[in-house]
Amino acid sequence: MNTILIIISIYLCFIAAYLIFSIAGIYHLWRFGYSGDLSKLAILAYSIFSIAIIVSTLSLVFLNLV
Amino acid sequence: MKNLEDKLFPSQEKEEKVFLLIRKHWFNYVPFVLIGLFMLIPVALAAYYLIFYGQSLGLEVRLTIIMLVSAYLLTTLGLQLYGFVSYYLDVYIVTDRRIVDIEQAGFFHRQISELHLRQVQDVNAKINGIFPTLLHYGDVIIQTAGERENFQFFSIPNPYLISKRIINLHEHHLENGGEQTPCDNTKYEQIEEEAKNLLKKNKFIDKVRGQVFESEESKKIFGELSKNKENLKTGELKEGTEVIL
Repeated sequence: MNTILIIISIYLCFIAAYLIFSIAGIYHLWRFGYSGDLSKLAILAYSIFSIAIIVSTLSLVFLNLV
Repeated sequence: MKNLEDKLFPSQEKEEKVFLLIRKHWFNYVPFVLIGLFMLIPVALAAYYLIFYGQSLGLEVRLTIIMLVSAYLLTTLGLQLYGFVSYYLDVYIVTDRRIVDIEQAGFFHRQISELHLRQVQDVNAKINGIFPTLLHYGDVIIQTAGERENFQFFSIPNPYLISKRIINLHEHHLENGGEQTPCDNTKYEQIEEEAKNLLKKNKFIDKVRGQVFESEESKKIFGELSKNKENLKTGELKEGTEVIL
């Protein structure tokens, strides 16, 4: 069980780093993108994919544990 | 084109009009997409392995694989975002006063260089290679006056057309004594103003005409004129009558 906790905490640390990286990228697109271009769409697509991956991973982990 | 009412670069002045917003050709972004697709192959293999042989693995190994795959997928997505920001925010802007090169390399390097239109001496365009020739993209080199380095637009679509437009803008800029060139909107406003003035004049003339035609005197004159015309036709013209045809 301890090993599983360590793996999950490493994954959560990765997610935290990933969030910082994503915020930096999204900030750039939001701040320097031009009105009417693809930057807002890219932010939306990136956020949806990221959330989908994280949520599905956590659900899989939960299902395996239960 | 896009709605360019907002400021495109920090030092853009209020009345400065943007004529061209150029990004690198989409073919420059293709390597990022290909790398992303190749990076998905191990994910597919891991998913296949987990689905068909997952039950035989221990819980810890299974969870480790799931989280590793997830982290790998997120890294791939993050790299795609990095590539997109570097490609999409790297733009060249041509206004009625200057040329601006905004260079974006990743998230933490952004450089803005400017060149005034009056400093432009010559503009060259070149297309070099198989893909650039087929997809019609290439470089535009703007030679500058003085010791300044040449300005270069790399891998942009339609380089010949863009170089021609820059030359036209430069000439227009010089013709106006290096001052702000009127943009299309100003021209339209001028034309609209002239049209309104003409309309006003026409209305005035019509008004005057109406008054002339409606007065008793004019009716008398026009009556005599029509009579004279008839007389001319029949050859019975009275002596001393002025004929106005």
